[in-house]
Amino acid sequence: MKLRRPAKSFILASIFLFSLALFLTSASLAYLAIFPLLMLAIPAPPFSISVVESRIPENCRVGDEVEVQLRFRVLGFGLFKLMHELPESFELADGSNAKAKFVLFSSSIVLSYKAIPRKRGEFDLGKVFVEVESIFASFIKKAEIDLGAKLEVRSRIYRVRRIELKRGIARKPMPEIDISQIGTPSTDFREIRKYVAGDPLKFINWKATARIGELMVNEYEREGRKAIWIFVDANPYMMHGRAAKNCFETAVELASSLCYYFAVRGHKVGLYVVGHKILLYPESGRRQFRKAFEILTKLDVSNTVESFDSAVEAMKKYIEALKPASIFITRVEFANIFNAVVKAMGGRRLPVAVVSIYGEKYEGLAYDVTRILRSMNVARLRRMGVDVYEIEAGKSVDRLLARVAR
Amino acid sequence: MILISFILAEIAAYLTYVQFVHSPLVFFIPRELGLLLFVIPAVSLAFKRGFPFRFFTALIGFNIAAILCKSEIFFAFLNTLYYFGYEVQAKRIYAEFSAYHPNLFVLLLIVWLYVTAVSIEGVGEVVGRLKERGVEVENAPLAYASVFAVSTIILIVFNFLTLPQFKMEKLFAGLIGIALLFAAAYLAAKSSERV
Repeated sequence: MKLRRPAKSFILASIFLFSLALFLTSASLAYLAIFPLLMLAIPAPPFSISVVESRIPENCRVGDEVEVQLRFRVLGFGLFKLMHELPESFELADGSNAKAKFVLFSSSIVLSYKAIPRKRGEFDLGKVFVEVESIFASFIKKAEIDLGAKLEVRSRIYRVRRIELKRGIARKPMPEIDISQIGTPSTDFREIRKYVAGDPLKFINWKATARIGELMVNEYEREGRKAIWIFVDANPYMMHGRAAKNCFETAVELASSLCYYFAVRGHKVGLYVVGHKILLYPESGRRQFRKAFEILTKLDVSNTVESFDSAVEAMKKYIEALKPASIFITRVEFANIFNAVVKAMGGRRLPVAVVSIYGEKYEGLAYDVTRILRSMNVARLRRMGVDVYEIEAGKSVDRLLARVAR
Repeated sequence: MILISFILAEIAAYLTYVQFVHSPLVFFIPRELGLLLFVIPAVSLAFKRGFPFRFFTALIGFNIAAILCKSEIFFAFLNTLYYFGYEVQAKRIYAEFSAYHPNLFVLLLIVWLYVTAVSIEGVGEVVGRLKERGVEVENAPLAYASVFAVSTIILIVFNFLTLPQFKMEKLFAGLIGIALLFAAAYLAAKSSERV
């Protein structure tokens, strides 16, 4: 219990009257000194509160409107203040998550509101804080109700608009039309090429060999599509910007959308979270997307810094085996990714794309310095033959996704 | 709610003024000084307090005659004056004060007005803070009314218990005291309990 201003005034008045009574030896004043204390004798009557109805959805997507309705049965006497705790990243759209009501013995209190989550993750929406002011506002009693409700907020998955492309030599790092470098040959004819030691004899094209005078073999498309490896930066410097719209949230949103796009189209999608050393081995299909999405939904920035260099080094054997196209999602002004990019490209010039996320513009020297640094690093990456895409934190990844995935 | 508090302060000022002009203090203090009591609450409104503690002490000060007329210390003081040669003054003061029969209920009313005003201000502050934060407050007038009602009940019960005519059986009074002690212990225990 906490002493409030009226309680202090009562005590002060009582002390004053009692001191005067002592000084003047007055029994009447001594009696009067008891009167303010009687107000304190009824501090806060016991109360009981029970949940009659609790309607909280279990999951939603970032930006969706969540409708919450809570009904409580209250027994007591005093001013009841109820607040349903909302995480910082939630925005009230309609109504209020707090309400106060003066209750005379029995009543019901309804909390009804709509909120919009601006950040993905699993949130505890089970806490309701109760405060009861005593009748003279001299004391306050606190309680907490646990509704046991959790809300899973998932990233918004952006769909890429289909773009028709001609099959040919892949110049973009992640073309949907790219084929897998490894795997079982299918029956789809691809090209005729010179024989290389180790090629199966059944693939020798005898007619072409007779015409050219050199051993030629038929090349067939391999089953499956190119593997994609997404490196998501979760280092502490990614937490830049507002709570709901920061670089990290944009990175997660983009990674989720890319995972979905490639996984459902038959690409093997691997994921590595830099900073947490979380690895998801490449697989394709919706199941793989769900695995990646689960990781990304619960992800938060790490406390320690992991370099991209060591991340790619750890992935080296997978890169050599799968020859994937790599996508780095980071802040290029902070992450030193040049060595990592070179390693990811390999000797066989594997495609690499870098998505550079930058914070909101603000006035000041710090912003100018980071902007210059970012421009320099982006230019250097482009000179290395890397496709670099830039996006401002908090902006929709819709358009960028179309460019990256093309 | 400061306005209600201010009105209660003005009522307290009026009661004090009436008591003051009929008390022996008017022979020593100019009557016009008592009118200042009506001004103080208005001034304190500027500091967002309808019934400040200092004003309460001033009210008790103007009512001091009601206490002094039955105070042994005061009469001891008059004896001292007498002993040191101020016989005329000591006799005059004694004559004035010994003949004075104050209404002690006025003092009780002033204390009641003060605690009620402070409580109403307190509830007003709580409600105001909630409204500032955009929290809807239902039945707010009922909160003020209940402060008034409960404090009035306490006033009536207290006045009844302190009447000289009121005599209670000692055993019965003791039992009530023990019951109240248990009730207080129960309330204290419940207040620290979590739902």
